[in-house]
Amino acid sequence: MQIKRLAAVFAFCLAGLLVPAWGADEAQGAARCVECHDDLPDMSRSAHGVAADKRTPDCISCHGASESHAKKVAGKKQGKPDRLFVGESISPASERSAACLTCHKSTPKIALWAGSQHPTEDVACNTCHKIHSNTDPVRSKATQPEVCYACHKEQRVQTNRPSRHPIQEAKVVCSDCHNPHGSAGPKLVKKDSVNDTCYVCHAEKRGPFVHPHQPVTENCANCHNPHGSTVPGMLLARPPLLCQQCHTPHVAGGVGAVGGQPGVFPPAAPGQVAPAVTGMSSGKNVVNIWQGRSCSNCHTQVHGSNNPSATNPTPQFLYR
Amino acid sequence: MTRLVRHFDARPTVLVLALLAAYGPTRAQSVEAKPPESAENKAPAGAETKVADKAGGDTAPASGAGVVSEGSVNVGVTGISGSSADRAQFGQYNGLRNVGNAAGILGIDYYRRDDEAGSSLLFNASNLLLETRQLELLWKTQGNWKLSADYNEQVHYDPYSVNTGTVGFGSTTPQVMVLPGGPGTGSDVDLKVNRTSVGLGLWKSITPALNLEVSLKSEDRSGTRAFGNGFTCPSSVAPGCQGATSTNTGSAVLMLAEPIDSNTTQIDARLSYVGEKLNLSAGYYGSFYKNSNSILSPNVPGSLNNPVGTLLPLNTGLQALLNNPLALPPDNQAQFLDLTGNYALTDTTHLKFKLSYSQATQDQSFNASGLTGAPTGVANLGGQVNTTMGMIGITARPIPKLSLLADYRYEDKSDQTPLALYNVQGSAPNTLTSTNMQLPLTTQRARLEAAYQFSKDYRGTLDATYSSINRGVFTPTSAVEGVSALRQTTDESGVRAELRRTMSESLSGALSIASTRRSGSDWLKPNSGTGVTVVTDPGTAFGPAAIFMPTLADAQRNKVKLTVNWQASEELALQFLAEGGKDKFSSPTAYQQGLQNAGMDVFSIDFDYTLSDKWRINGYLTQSSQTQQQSRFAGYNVSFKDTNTAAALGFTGKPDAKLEVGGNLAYMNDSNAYPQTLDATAPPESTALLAATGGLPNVAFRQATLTLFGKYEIDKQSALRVNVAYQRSYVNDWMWGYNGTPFAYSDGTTLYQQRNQSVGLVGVSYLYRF
Repeated sequence: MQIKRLAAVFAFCLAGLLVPAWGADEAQGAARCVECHDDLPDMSRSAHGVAADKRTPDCISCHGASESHAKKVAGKKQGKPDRLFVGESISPASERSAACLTCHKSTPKIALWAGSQHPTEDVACNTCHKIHSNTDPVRSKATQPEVCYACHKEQRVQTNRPSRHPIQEAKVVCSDCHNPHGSAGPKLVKKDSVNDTCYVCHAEKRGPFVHPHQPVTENCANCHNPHGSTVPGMLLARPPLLCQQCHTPHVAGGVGAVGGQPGVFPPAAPGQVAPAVTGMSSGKNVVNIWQGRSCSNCHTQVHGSNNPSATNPTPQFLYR
Repeated sequence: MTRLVRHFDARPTVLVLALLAAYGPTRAQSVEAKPPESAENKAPAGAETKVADKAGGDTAPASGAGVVSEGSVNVGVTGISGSSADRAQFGQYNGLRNVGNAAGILGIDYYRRDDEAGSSLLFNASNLLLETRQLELLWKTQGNWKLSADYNEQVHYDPYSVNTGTVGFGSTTPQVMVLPGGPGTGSDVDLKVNRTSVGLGLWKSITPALNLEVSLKSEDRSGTRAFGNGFTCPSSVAPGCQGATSTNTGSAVLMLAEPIDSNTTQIDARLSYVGEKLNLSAGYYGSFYKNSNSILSPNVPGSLNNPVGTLLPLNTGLQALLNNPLALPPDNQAQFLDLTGNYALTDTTHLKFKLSYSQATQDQSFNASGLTGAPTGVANLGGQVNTTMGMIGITARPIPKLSLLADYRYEDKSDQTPLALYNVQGSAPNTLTSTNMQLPLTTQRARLEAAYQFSKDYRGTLDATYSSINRGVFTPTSAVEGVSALRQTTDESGVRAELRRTMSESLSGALSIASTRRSGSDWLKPNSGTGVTVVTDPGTAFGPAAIFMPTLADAQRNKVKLTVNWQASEELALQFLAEGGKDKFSSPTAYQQGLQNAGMDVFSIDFDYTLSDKWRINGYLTQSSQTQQQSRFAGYNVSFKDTNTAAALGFTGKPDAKLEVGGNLAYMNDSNAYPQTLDATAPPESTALLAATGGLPNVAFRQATLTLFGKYEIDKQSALRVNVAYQRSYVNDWMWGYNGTPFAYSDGTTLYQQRNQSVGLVGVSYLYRF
């Protein structure tokens, strides 16, 4: 196994020798690295270990020529590499990212990196990516969320709530909705807007509809928390509370109560003239408003309806 | 050497792999091309996603290690305890909800690499015996071309199951049948949605400076989800329908599952140019949604249960209303073009930009869909929304210690959907007709930021943001009800200050505070007929019951965040997070109905401890809360609070060269409280009801999961893996029932989820490498 690692490291050092653009000194410099650093993990399966690709970097490409580190002078303290990605003398995030961007700046999904949220928060490429390895946890659906949770603790809690996307099951991961490398959309969503990002998987909500619901077309996050919630449908708040943040409520259901509590169904509780719900109660009673699908028990087309019927009751109240 | 363990390096693979192991056969378990040399290589071998680097260029033959070919097959069986009801939470997405007490494990992995040619082939198949099976192929010559293909199945089981008497539940023509034996005596049905997708991708380097990428994905979706209809008579929008009497029911609510049978096809293409200073790409994205079901046509009987469960004939008009067809999502299309790039003005000054145009359309024929009653001469909606977006940003470092950033984004969504008289309300002579409404949207966002490196260790950042939303002039021929006030534009500006200690020693962190303010244009009051009226004096124009939406109201947000990373010793790394924020909404009247304020706070500590070269433990504790203060006129004042505690403790170890073990214990406790007091104008019946009930019960969710795994290398070619997991969940939510009283629809249909759930899992698999 040790031999395999050495072979991989030696292979891309050899690649440096074969590329005309690289001078003999640099190549020699890269080969010098493995004289001491012979214990690196196997990365023969990673893109950075493909010797046949002329562009494959060697040690110096990322860490710099590091002459004071490579040439240990007797009696003097060994210098640090020009660019360090870990450790006490770690290089600034911008310098570390600059090493990667030398090659990867042309990658379309990194086009909007400069000035985006991560670099401005000192997150460098190697903050999330593991280079000296055959497996990069952030590029695997099974392990990516844990890398993101290292900073995004609130989302770690939310994605474990009962109403959620299948993140734990590695079917949907952070990079399915977000481009951490930069985006024109808010919160680094992959598309130009939150809604366009959601419509990638939920195109049935896109419409346009005959009867739209304005907050839906403006921003799905007006009502939903896509990271997870205790309310079914990943809603920000439980209906009718959520709906009543915008809409004037029906007369009944003035105070929240649920069936099974005293005084809701017959018999009346002490102090009540009649229970809250009787056989003569309207359908807009406290139980229908606070339980089941709540407002959606009747206003079922909450995302919009394409029903064109101009017959009373027309569907503009999203009944059908 | 003291090793600074950054927060990301807290070996989270222990936790996630343990969680995946709990769910039985997964990619992490089934995909291993070779034995991991260390805990670092725990992630699935060869688990490259479709998102891979796309740098262009020609390959050149080079000497290398020749051809590498390796693969593995993973077979085994997982025993699972608990009924389907016990697995409501556990089996939401992992395909183990209804597999009985055993499930097979089968996964295949193959990797071939030609070091001379620089080409590789990776094939991975996992969960082949479950509803979550997945196959991926990636074949490439690095820097020259890449071909990818994938097949993916996904399933979602609603944690709530349905008990119903409806015949054809989940079809487009459900026949509603009242349960003669009452709620709970019907047939049990799961609400389930399957997604099956096939994808193809190709990347080709045309020249060293020009690359082309094309991908195609087609996803079929089928199943059922919670849906329904309901109506209450009498109603101003349904003249003639009569309300409840002692002998007739005047309202009904019904659970009708939405029948899902649709396809979404997506096409992505991008041509990229790589220059010395300029990188530019032109992209196309098309999304085409097609629904095989256009309407849901229920068949509702003439008698249903009244609100207290007594079977009575429906009063005049109600049955016809309930039998109206419901429109299902129509076919729609959206296509996007964009030009994206960046330009290095100098070594320290960079420009980035994006320009995009999209068109979303929907022109499904009403008649062909079975939807009747459209306005005369209107065959389809003709929906069309055109969106133009432009974004530009510049970053510069005029002096080494100073970084500057400015960006601006503008998006204009133009709703070109034709107007027609779709809306009729009331009866003659008071009939109100109105058109549908157009919903244009113009947004702007700008940011300025300056960061100064005070010293080697300290950096300060100051930024200012501005954003605005213009919702366009309200369609004057349209009408709105159920809403107190609208607003055309809102503007928000904010500032943020941050002090960061850069990560160069054993202690690093950042403290930031942010504040934003939102205001907007004059409020708009809906007219009794069509259109809205601008209100210049909202204090008198709106009454005490008026609600000013949290998306439109004047608002103030303040937020503070502190993060600290501490390498306490060679072995121990700690991370702290404390974050809090509050939103306060203002009302232009003396009263404040609706959402008044909302807050959040999070406290979290993570640790990672290296016991030895072979053993490691990590874990976290997070405490968070969310609050919302909300009120309604003549009703409640609710001080909602959600409190969440989440913790986990995990370990990995290698007792000897052949044996690897790991485990994780995770716990979450989430409690939602809805304490209420009464608004001063609440009627006596509300006062009496609150006194009788004591208020809304809490909603609680608790879950504990223990997972253990052991992997033994039998020899170079084979290994044996054992997974053990146990999960307990507690769900107490009054949404579908409380205190033994289910929420029953008018036909007796109920939904339920078992309150206490427990699932045990033991999986044994054999890995053979070739």
